[in-house]
Amino acid sequence: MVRRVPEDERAALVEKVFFKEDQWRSNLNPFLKKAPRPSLAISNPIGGAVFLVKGLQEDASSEEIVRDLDGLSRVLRMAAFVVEFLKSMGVLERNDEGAANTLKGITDGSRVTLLKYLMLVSILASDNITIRESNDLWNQYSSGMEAEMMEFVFGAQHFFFESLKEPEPEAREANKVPAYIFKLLDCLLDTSKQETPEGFYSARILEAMISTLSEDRKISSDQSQSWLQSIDIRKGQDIHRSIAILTGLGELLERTQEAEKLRNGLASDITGIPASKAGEAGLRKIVLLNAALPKPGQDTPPLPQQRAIFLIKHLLSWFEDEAFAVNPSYSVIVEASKAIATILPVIKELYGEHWELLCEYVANCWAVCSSGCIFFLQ
Amino acid sequence: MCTSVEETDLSVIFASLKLFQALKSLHKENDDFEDAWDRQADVMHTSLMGLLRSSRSLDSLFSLGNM
Repeated sequence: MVRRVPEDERAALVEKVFFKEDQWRSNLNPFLKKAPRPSLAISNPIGGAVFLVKGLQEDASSEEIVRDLDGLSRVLRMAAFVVEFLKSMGVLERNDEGAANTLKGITDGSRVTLLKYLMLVSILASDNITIRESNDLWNQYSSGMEAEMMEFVFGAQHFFFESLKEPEPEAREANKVPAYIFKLLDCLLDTSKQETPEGFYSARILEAMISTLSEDRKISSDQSQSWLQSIDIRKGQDIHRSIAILTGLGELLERTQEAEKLRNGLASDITGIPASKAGEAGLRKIVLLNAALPKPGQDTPPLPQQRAIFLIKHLLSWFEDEAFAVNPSYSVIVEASKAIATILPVIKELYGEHWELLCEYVANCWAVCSSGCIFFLQ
Repeated sequence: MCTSVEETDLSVIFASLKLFQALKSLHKENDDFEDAWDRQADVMHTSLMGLLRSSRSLDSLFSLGNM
């Protein structure tokens, strides 16, 4: 149908096919009220940010979700339709220059809406594939459905990431980013300030964007500095946004003096937090520290040796605390384990009782998972 | 007194296994650590076997599915 329309009218027609922001929002709303599953702490790129989601509605009513006979929610059908439409236009394979030009003709606002919601639905779908029933974006599970959903996620994310690689029209510099990319970044920087499910999912899109743009060298150091300076990370302000920026900048950031200072500062803050506040203030700082620590396989030292040993001993002291044992925070256990595993090589030559305590701690984690018994280091 | 871990099981298991892996790779780096490792080996072994035999944790591990 699009091809039959005169070329100068195609963009306007295509724009109508891509749904308006209020259509996406009203159908996504039930999914943005649900708490993301804690297991996602190990499968999503911004890790422990999942533990910091607030503003949830317990047991968001399932009747709000409109589904078809196959159990597909309406918002998933909208997103799947858009991906199929892009495929039929030849945009996904980039084999139709006319279609690509049509897409460039739509307004920046519509492009931002399309990219944001398509990626959001694909992230929800990806979570529902990784951990079954994690959000029930579709609620009838079979291997055929799973394969179909994997194809949808691949198509949607391929379109999203290819759009980030698109050069600015008429730009002299090959690395210049089109205006709609900055608009999308601004939109996500804003929504990821919230500690709600929407803030969490926005932060995941933001992390994916920053990571791709930084790998493609499309983010200048001035740009990354301005993001970092815009937030007081150590105060835990806009925490999902901070985690997305730290994780997204990754290698670009981890060797800098600013990152070193931040890691030291966060480690120092954690050592000042008593066990009684581990589940709240402690958790927020460890999640931030994990986002700022070098990724596995990097040769950047995560912390100076003395700072590292103080931190590990302090984290172990939380687990020896009787009050913590009675009401343990499993989120803290997860995030502390991740931090200790990353920091451990720095202290490998040091002698002390911490080694025995660490072995005991690991054994205790397994015991608590298999029997549900009390968590306590003797 | 027992406390249920339920859904968080999966992330606790995964994070603690990663930590165990890190400890295992370093335990011969100094004598003190090696001695502690040897002293705790039985406790860790028993605990790990308990985890693997537990249907509760196995259910969690299987729910990893496509991860």
